[in-house]
Parts: sequence; C-alpha cells; structure tokens
Amino acid sequence: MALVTSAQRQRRRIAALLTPGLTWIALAYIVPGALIVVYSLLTPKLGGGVIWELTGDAWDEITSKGRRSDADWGTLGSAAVRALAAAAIATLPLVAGARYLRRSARGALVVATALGGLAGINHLASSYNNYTAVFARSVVWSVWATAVCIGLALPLAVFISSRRSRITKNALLVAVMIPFWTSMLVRTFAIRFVLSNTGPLNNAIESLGLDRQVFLNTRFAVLLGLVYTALPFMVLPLYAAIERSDRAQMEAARDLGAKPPQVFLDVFVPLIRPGLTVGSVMVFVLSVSQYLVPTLLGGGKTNMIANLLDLQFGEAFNWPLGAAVATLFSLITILSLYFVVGRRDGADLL
Amino acid sequence: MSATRRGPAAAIGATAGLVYLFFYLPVFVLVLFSFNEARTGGRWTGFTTEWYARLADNDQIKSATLNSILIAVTATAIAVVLGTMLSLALDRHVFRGRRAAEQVVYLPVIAPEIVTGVALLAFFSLVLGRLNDLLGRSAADALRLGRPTVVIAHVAFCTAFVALVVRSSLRNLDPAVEEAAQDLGANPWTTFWRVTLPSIAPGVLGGALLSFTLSLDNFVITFFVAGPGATTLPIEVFGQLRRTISPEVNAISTLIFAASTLLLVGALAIQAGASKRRLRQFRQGDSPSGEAPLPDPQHSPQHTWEET
Amino acid sequence: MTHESSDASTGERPERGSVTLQGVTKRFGKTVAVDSIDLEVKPREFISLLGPSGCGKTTTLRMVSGFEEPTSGRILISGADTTGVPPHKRRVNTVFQSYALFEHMTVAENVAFGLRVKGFDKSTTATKVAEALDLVRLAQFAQRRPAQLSGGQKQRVALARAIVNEPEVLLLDEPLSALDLKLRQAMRHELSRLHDELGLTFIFVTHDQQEAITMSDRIAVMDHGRIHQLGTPSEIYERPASRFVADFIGETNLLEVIGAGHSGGMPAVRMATGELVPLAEADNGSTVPDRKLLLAVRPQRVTVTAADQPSEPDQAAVAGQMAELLFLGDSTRATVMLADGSQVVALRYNDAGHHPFGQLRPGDPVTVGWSRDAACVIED
Repeated sequence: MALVTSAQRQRRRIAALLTPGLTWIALAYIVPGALIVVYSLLTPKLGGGVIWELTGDAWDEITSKGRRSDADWGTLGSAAVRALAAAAIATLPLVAGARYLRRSARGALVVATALGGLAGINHLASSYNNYTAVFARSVVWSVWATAVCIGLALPLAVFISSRRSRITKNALLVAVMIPFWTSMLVRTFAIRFVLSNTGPLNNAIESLGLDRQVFLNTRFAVLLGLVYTALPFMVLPLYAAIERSDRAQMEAARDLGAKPPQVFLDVFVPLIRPGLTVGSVMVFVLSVSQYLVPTLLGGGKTNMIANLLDLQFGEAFNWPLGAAVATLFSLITILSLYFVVGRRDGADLL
Repeated sequence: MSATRRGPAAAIGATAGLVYLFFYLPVFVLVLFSFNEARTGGRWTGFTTEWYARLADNDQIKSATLNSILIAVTATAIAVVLGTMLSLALDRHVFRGRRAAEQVVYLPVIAPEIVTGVALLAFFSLVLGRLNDLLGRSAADALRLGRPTVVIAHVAFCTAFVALVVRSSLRNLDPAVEEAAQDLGANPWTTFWRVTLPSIAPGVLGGALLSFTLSLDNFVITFFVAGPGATTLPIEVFGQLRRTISPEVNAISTLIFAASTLLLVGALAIQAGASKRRLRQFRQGDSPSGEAPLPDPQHSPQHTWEET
Repeated sequence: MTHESSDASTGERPERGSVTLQGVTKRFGKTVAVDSIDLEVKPREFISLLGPSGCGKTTTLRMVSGFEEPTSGRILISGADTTGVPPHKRRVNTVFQSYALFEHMTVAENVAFGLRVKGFDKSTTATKVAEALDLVRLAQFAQRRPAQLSGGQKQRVALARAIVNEPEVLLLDEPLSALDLKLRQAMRHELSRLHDELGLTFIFVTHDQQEAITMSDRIAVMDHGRIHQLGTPSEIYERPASRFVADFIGETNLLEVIGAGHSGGMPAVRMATGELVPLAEADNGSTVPDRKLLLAVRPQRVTVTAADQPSEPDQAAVAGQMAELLFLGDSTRATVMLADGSQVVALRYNDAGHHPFGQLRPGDPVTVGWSRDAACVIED
C-alpha cells in the first residue's frame, strides 16, 4: 500500500469539506450569473424564455438613444452646468469650515468632484433613454439614502457607544438589531400603511385641521423607505468601528490643542473609516437593488432597476432585455465595489 | 470626543432618540391598528381581535405559512451542515485558493437579491425545460418551479450566513484544543464530534436560527423562483397588501414581526449565554487562587455583538 | 489497523523513547522555518530546544508530534520512521502552551479522553485517571471544569492528560510561559520530579534560558532554524560555541581579540587595547596569529580593582576607567570603559553593608581582570 502523506490527507479533507457547500453556492450564484450574460445575447421568446439565436437586440435597445433625447451639445452643456453647480454647492460648506480642514481638504475635494460628476452624469443619463434614466435614478436615490443614513447613524452609534453601562449598551444595540433582522416586507408595509392616503398620518394631519396630503407614491416616500429599511446596516458597522477605535488618540489630539471639529475630521473620521466604508457599501447595494420599496411606496411604476427587471422577466416577458439590464447592473455593482472599496477594505467587508 | 461639551452631547442624544422613534413608530402603529375595529382607514374606532380570528380561518394564509415553515426547516437543516463544513475548511486550514473560496462563500451576502432572483429563474427554467424534454414529460405532468427550487435557492444564501456565524465562533476556539484531541489519539472524525462541535455549538445553533429567519422572511429571491405551487407567507402577504389594505394584513404582519423578533432574541440569548458562562467560569476559577491570568478581551460579551 | 500505525507503535524495542531527526527541513512557502536539523535524543533524556521566538523550535516539536510534515528529511520515534503517520497514531503526547484543555469536559473527563478514544474499558480508565491526577496532586479537583481552575492547576491537568497515555516521548511546548514567576519556579521542580518518576523522554521547548538550564540533561540552542550548539547546560553556559549562544544564554562580555599564539608558556590572545590575555587552553584558532576572534567572559567572573594594585601573572589584566555603577538590589553592576571604547561589565553580589566594588567611583582608573579559565574564545 502506498504511503499517504499528511499533506495529501489534508488536501482530501479540505476538498471534502469545501466541495458540497461551494458547489451549491456556485450552482445558485455563479452558473445562473453566467447564464444571464448568455441570455442577454439571445432572442426573446413570447411569453417568457429565450430562443437560442444570437442577437445584439437587447444591448442595442438599452444603449441606443431614446426619443426624448435632445441635441447632443445642448445636453452636454446643461450637464456641465449641473455638475458645476452641484460641485459648488458641495464645496460651499467645506470652504466655510476650511480652517479646520488641512489634511481633510483632499478628501473634501474628492467628495465635491464626485457629487458634481454624479449630477452631470445623472442629467445626461436621465435624458438619454428610459433604461439609463432608471439606472441614474436608482443610483442617485441610493446615494441620497446612503448620505442620510450616515447622518442619522453616526450620532446614534456615538450615542450607544458612549453609554457607560454595558446592559444599556446591549439593550440599545438589540433595539437596532430587531429592525435589522425583521422582515423587509413587514417594515416596508408599515411605512406604506402609515403614509397611505387614509392612513394614520393623514388622519392625524386632518385632526389638526389641515388638508390631507399625498405621501404615497412620491419620491419622498421612496427615499424614506430606502432610509428606513437600510439604516440598521449603517448603525451596526459604525458602532463596531467606534468601539474598536482608540479613544486615547482623540484625547491626545485634544491634549495637543485641536478643536473639536478638527478632532472630528482629522482623527475621528479616519479612525472609523472602515466602518463607514462597510456601512456605505451595504446601504448602497441594498438600496440600489430594492424591489419592495419602489414597488410598495413608489406606486409600482418603473421606478428603480429592480422594477425594470421584474417587468422584463414578469410582465413584458423580454428575458434577453432583462438579462442585459441585470448584466449591466451587476457590472456596475461589482466595479463600484472594486473601485470604491478597494481590495484592502473589501477584506474588512467580509 | 466632544461628549464632554454639553451642546453636541445633547444634539447626539436627541438625534439618537429620534432615530429610535423612526425605527419603532411605524411598526408600533401597524401593530396598534391590527387591533382596530374599522375595516378601512387609519382612524381608531375601537379594540378588536377579530382580524386575528379571521386569519385562523384563512386557508391561503395557513397553507402559505406551512409552506414557509417547511421550506425554512429543510433549507436550514441542509445549510447548517454545509455552512459548518465550509467554516471548518476556511478557518482551520490554509490552502491555495482559500481567498477565492472565501469570495464564493460570501457571494450571497453581497450579491443584489434581485439579480440572484432573475438569474435563478432563468437557470431553473432552462434546467427544468431540459429535464422535461429528457424525461419526455407532457405539459400536464411537467416539472415546474416549486418548493424544491425555493429550497435550493434558500440553502445557497443560508449556507453563506451559517458559515459566517460559525466562523466567528470557531475563531474563539483555540486550534490547539483540537490538536490536543488528535495528540491524545482521536482521529479527525472523533475530534470533530467530541471536541470541536460541543465547543462551537452556540455558534451553530445561532447560525441555524439566523438561517431559519432569513429563509422565512425572504421575499425577492423567493418571488422569482417559487412559481405558483409554492407560495410562501411573504409572497402571499405581498399579494394581499397589493390588492387591498385590510386589517388582516396588519395582523399577519404583526405576527411575522413578533416571530422574527422572538427568533432574533433567542439567537442573541444563546450567544450571550455562552459568553457569559465563559466569563463566569473565568471569574470563579480566578478568584480563589492568587495567580490571575490576564483577562482575555475576546471573552467580553461585547465581542458577540460585533461579530453578528 | 493499517501498516502505518504498526510502524509507529513499536513494541519493547531497545530504542524505545528515542527521537532521531535526520536532515529535517521545514519550509512555509519561501520561509525556511527549520533548516536541515540533525538531532539524536536518547531514551529517558530531558532535552530542551532553546531559542528566541521564530527560531524554529516549536516547528521542530510540531513535526515530532505530527502536526507538521517535514519538507525533507525524516524523523524516527523509537527507531521507527514517522513519515506519513498522523498525530493520532503517534505514541507521543504534547503539553500545549495554551494548555488546550477541553472546556466542556471536567478535569477527569479531560484526563480520560485519550484512554476513551483508544477504547480502554471504564474501570481501567478510572484507575489510570485517578493515578495520573494523584501524580500531579489534583485528585480533589477531578469533577471541576477547566474554567474553574487557576493557571497552575490547568497546567497540571494538561500534564496529567498527556502522561496518562504512557507516551514514549512527552513533548512540552513552552508549558510554563503563561504562569507567573513564582509558579513557574514551582512547576520547574514539579516537571523535574515527574521526569525522574516516569522515566520518559521529555522534549521541552522554551525561550527561557533559566528553565532550560535548571531542568535539562542537554540543551539544543536554536536560531534561524538551525541548532547552534548542543550540549549539557554547563557546556552551553561555560563554553558557548558562537556569538549567538553567548549572547542568548545569560549576559556575557564579548570582546574583540586576535590570536597571539603563546605568551609566557600559556596560550594567549591580544586585546584590541594591546594587552595580552592568557587562556586556559588553546582552542578555536587562538594559536593562529592575527586571527580575528571574540573573547567571552561572564560578568560574574570579572574583577575590578584599583589601577595601582598588582595582578596575578596568570590573570588577565586590562586597564580601563570606571564608567558606571548600578545598584540592582541583590547585586551591583559595574561598567568599565576600555581604552578602545569597548565596555566590560562586572557583576558582584552585595554583602550586607559592604560595597562590592570598594571605594571605586565612576571616573576612577581601574584594572579589570579574570582568571584564565573564566574566558573562552569564539570564532566570530
């Protein structure tokens, strides 16, 4: 009998442990993913499915200019104006706080440029064709949702982390985790119920002697829903990052004469950056692919990417077109994960 | 930070309070109105449990609930085994391609659900179509989307989350403990059953509860792969609340909310119990003798929160 | 039973308890952790692998226990080749640095584990467990959980759990490093006693030279995956074979010298300051004129006297200036600066009320000396 080395035994054991799980996940994620790419190049079958004939129709459809599109130069021009305006608006508060900036100045510039660029691209994309318009809307709303989530989650995380008693801390954390784990459907429905035309909110408004308002099926409702469903995903990583951060560094900065805003920007934000990155990515990815929120709060019109996919796979039965949208969407998600998060922070994410 | 100054601290506290209000007010209103007498509208007219009573007679809801539980139990049973195996391979061994394997395992955590849903729909349709051709099934008795396809999809993402939770519990187990078992003559199989599994049991149980909750609550992926035969509870509720706003939907939503809260609190209690037991034993062992080993920061209960 | 195990579980061979390493190398990727080591451990010997962290001592131990496979070379336990034999089929047991006790079992269950998996019947197991717990004086703790024990008690449970299996070789991986100083000293005696009572081969890994010197029959000093010197504690201490060993074992004065052949009938070397220093014996190339060498002298053997006092002919005598006197509680440490800028350290125990270095004060001209058998020469 041949001698089995421990290295060989080890390899066999690893293979035995990995194979079932990896195969299952690959079969449910990687193979269907590849299939979607293939489907985007095939001919649609009426009533769902595909005919195995290669065609570029789906890609043509989503990349060619739609009817609404204006003359090129005009669109480009107004996109540039929008970009500049957005960048300027983003820069204003930063200039006001310039004396605290120093090291953060570069980061602020990046943020301003990114916001400006986003506004410009959004303008171009919204007027290009219906598909790019949906993409742009999904991305912009998700960026807004991410920003609002940071604004709400940061104070909350700081608040929880600064509690003295461990019991209080844990209780406050569990209170964040309950919405984190409970059904997305129930949470979205709760917002829909509160905001509905004859719902509790409108009743309360009426009893104050004011007129009923239309809240449901507005941008406001969608943004509110995105923030409501994604907020816990920002609080938990931020809290973990704050707990892990070294308080002594902030005290040292104070001791060396830094003012609170300087401590915040130059010491605190860099310290919790991993948590900010993880939280932002989670909130963004969750929001940009939301189906329930735009469907139940946005009125079921073609609002966001998920609705577009549902439409093509469910109602319009143009699978190749849906597959092309899904491919493009995955590509954007993967690329933005790769570039925004980078390889190092990507490891933190897991 | 600036917590010593009164102004910012008050602002932080106020924001935190508002955020909690934001989290719970809509759910609270939903729960409250599930006990409201009025059939429509958001005006409180009086207390009733009629809508809950009606749920008990609603066959669609009942069969959807049964479906959901059946699927969640099956998917969890498989996912716990696969996820634990994966976490053992990833945490206890160093091998070429580990990073790649890790990335595959965590794919379900970061992949947008909607894309997974439509991709699985395309995949299952293709496979089922080919199978029907192969087996020569007629349209009447053809294989269709149903419970098995839902289970296959759920196992995939549940496995990833189980692997995540069990791995964090493996990290707290000194690998030398397993080596000690082998050193004393236990083969790898005996080592796993007698030493590794008893030590990580809270993690495995926590992973199972999490997996059960995720499967029970999943909407988007299920929506695409369920087909007409395997309507789960979230799909049924979605259908109903799209058609009409009825207090029955409030009632079933309240029950779903209560169930997942209970499951979560159960999972947390198991993990907190495990770490508290470690802490208590540590203190007991410590106090009677003079030699105090340094406290291990990993054993503080806060650790469990960060990992989840 | 496969033939792998019949290889490992040798009967009553004459070499039972011996461990032989033949050209053993272990690479992790590009790092060489252990670099072609040869070592012969005799049955019933207490041998220590001593070195700083990362020197390869733990990797060597893990190759003996079977948790690592040598990249090349082979290891024989009791004369049998262990290549390909997994840990659970080797007749060796390990006491782990972190104790690695099973937290979910009682002390008795921990100790019984090895016997249970080997299929011993209940009554035999119970008897053996009781004996082992007696041996480490923990009989009254049998029903406790590991978490309810102190560090020293855990350590003894780990010992009992290993020796109850009657291994041919007991491997100890820094078993005392997690204990505080007092307990560490007590456990040293305990380990020595166990070694005498059990008559087993002990391979003891440590970075603590005190531990190695007080307990071992022989010590292998390791660095960068190689054995620098193998010898009895006194050989290692008195005659370090390399700069590394001299540096690592206790504090040593290392002075640059050159070979000078003989002087006054005695072998001698010449200091960088010009003085001739006599040696007890000519070794390591001290007879080769102008050969660059290192002279090692322990601070305890160095005398410091006022410059005007005469010195013995067979004593080394080097002129210098007192640079610093440091009171260390039980002893005093004097640092003397030589003419070329190098320093010599001398250490003396404090006598009640008496200053060990007399009236000498920093700045005073002094003579440092040592008897010729106190110094040894190392090739640099």
